[in-house]
Amino acid sequence: MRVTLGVDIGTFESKGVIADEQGSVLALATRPHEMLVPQPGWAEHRPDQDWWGDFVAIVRELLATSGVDPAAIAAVATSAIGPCMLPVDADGRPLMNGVLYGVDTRASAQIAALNARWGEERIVRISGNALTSQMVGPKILWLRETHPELFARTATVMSSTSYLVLRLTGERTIDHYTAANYAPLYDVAQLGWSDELADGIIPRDRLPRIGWATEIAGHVTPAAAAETGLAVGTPVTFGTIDAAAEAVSVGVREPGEMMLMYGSTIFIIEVTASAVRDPRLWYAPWLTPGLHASMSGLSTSGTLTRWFRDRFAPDAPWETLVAEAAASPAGANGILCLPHFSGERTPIHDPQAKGLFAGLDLTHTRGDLFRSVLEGIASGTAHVLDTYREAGAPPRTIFAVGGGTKNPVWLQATSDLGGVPQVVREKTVGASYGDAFLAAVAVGIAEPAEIERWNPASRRVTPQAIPAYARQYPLWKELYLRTREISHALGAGR
Amino acid sequence: MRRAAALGIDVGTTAVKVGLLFLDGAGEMETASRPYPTRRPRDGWAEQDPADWLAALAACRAELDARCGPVEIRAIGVCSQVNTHHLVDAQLRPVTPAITWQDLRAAPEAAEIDAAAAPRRTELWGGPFTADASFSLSRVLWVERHAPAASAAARWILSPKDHVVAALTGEVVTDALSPIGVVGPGDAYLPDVLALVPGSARLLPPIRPFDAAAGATRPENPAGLPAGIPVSVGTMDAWGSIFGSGLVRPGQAMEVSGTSEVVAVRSDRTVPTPGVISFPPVRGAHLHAGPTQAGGDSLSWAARCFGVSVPELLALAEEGRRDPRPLLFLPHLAGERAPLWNPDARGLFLGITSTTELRHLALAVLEGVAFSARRLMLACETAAGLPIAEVRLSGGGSRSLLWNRIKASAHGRVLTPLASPDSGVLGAALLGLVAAGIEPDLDAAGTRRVRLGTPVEPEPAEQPRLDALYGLYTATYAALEPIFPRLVASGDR
Repeated sequence: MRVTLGVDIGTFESKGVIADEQGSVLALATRPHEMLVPQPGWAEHRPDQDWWGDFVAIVRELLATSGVDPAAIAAVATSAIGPCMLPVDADGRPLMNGVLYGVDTRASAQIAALNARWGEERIVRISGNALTSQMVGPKILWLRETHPELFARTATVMSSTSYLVLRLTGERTIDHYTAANYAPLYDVAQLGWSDELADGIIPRDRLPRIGWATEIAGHVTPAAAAETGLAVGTPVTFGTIDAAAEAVSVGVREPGEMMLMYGSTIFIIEVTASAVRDPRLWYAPWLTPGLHASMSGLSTSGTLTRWFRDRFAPDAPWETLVAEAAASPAGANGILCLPHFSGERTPIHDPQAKGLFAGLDLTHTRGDLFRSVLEGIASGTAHVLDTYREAGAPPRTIFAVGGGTKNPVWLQATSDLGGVPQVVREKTVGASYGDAFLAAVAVGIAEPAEIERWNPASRRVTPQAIPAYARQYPLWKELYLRTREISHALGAGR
Repeated sequence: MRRAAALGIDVGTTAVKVGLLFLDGAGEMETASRPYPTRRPRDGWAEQDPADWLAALAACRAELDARCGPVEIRAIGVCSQVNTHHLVDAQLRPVTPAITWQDLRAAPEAAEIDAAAAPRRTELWGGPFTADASFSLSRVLWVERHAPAASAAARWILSPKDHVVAALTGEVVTDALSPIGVVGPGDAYLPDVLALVPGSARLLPPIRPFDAAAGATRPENPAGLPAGIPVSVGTMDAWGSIFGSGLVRPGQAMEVSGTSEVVAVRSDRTVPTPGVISFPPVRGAHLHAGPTQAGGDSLSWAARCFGVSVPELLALAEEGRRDPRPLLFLPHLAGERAPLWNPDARGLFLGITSTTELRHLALAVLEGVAFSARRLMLACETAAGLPIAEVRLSGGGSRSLLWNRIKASAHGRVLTPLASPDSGVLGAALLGLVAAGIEPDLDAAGTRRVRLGTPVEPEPAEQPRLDALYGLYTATYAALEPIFPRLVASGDR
């Protein structure tokens, strides 16, 4: 029997899984960790503790609980929150904590300077993305400008997954999907590092070697084997960012297939045949050569349903709230909710946008309000789907994943407002399961299409035409436009 | 020796309130209240039973007797909800339930009357009056068509306070303010208006001054009062509050915090102003007034949605003031009345972020209601044509010092609560005192008998924040006004 091992490092939790050739889960392990916030707007992980430490502990637990012979592990794949910025020295030792993805906004001054120097249009043209807090290039510039002594000792700037691969194999690598988040250092036309906009940031010889997530980056070293219990020489893939691995785990692989993740925020990845160039959507090459990915996200989702529960029904079980929402008719008896409680990302990209409830009357109840929250997020999702249609990349099949898929009212409202069916898969393990599958593909245990057998569809949500939604959705969009200036005038908020 | 007092009676929308105003002190008043049900047998109907009013009155009186000991009642005054009508026979027995001001059953009859009147509206009423479902003649026509037996037996159409006066004294009278839309200059019925519904004229009680004595209590009266006490003709509750707030000079204003916020300003002139009800001068006094739609109702609604009580909501709002957020609430939860008069308006929260807590939402609700009152008071001030010099606060909401502070800061004005918040009851008692000849007139009575509490000043720390927020409050209404009609209909299945 040949098996594969996948490990994913999340923001607050790491998870690992061993899967056999049929995709059955033989063992599963998790480890919690903290996100460090040294000052407002900064977010960090400790690479040797939160990333490598979790990895080692999880692999040891998986081997112990499954009884699998380490030699039977055909390949290891990893994924992690990302992109992250971690400078390492010539010996591969971290020079500071890992700087996390878009939640870390420390490089806003560097973003402004790079935009002023190169122009936003040129940056988007070359690197496929506008500079946001998600991008690594400005964070490297931050390191260079504010910690020149560390920068001088930096041999390579790694990401989170890269660092795990480095500890396992000694190789300094990164996959294309993650590298595309290194704007303005990555050239999407050349599929490689670019010098064109790199001047003053970092020379390309101090960036990792780029490959595809389904390729083998290297093999487990004796030192890593001793630490983890893995067999020396076990193949290790390039790995990728967690969201991409999650998309793989629910079967996203062909153009027109889309993952709709109902996580703490809504995050969407669509695989496309050609590169989608729309300033409202994010771009990266997909995990295999010749395919592309178009990404988007809302600023809230699970964070907003939790916000509502914590305030309006702190003592009630979720089932009670969902039942109350289900008792309210589609349209929430006329309440409209703008879910911009943390500003909004796609497609309006307005960090100053604010949350709103409109249409309130004396008959409304907590259930009507909660239903309006779910329909507000569903309207935001529909707005994103419209954006894909406008960009010439209408989704063909949507695979829904994440905690929100347990809420039938929410799932149905999303299909009804978005005018799309959704498929929910049997297994909800998440990114680590996608890693195990990617590892299986990398060593020829599985063909990409076999994800259908690994993780078959369990539920299908069919869109229905709801007259109330037909009236409310245009109003929902108009409400934002009509209140935008007032929301901005209300200030940055907190 | 028994203490001398005047008895004030206010027959409200949900309860009767009764007060004993003692004549030996400086306006000390003891009050009691009893609720009664509103029945809604069909969609749009809202009825009360006149017998409930009298039973509630008797219960209040018994409670006050038990609480205050022997009292010598020297005068009785009455005010009540208006546009609530019922028909009685010649023996003063109700032949219909009381059709309240919220009842819409006579809408078709109203539309008919209004259409007939439309070509000569100004000629009939001297202004833009609209006959609606709450108009007395619409009700007369409805009863004639749908309850012919009651119509045949009917002798009088009465307001609740007319009913109480008749029950206490045996006299059937009304005042010139309460029969809205059928009384014109000289406090006389408008014959051309009455002619719109033939047969209505004989149902209307004779008009007497509101502060005249209708008669004296008869021996066997339903409140169990001694015989021979003078009872005033009385008037509508809004005017009761105006009298009870002691608005005796131009530039004085009142705000009554109940289920809605009612504002009135006294002046010596009228500047016609959209959205404000400017009454025809009463004895030289120009009153400019209006009700919002959901004041206390907004608090009750929010408390219910938040899963807390109204006192808990107030406590939350107090916490919210420690770290206020830029957050807006429009309180138009049942459309809006003065000064916007927009039945399609709806409520709204705007400015919520991930760190907004219930305490901030609770505070926003109170501030939103305060802003609706600020907007109304500014409009009334325009209509008054002079600056408001003093605002007196009453109603149940004025019992909360916190809310009074929020309102003072939102208005940017000093607000002085009445010592006893039931301004309608107090106004009724003052009407009784004038009717009994104990006070020469209402201004004198208001000056002498209205006791004030401690003035509440605008808070210097809060006023700039609320001023800025008020600007965004009016901007938000303006931004949403064009889409309210579509919003109202959007949730229909």
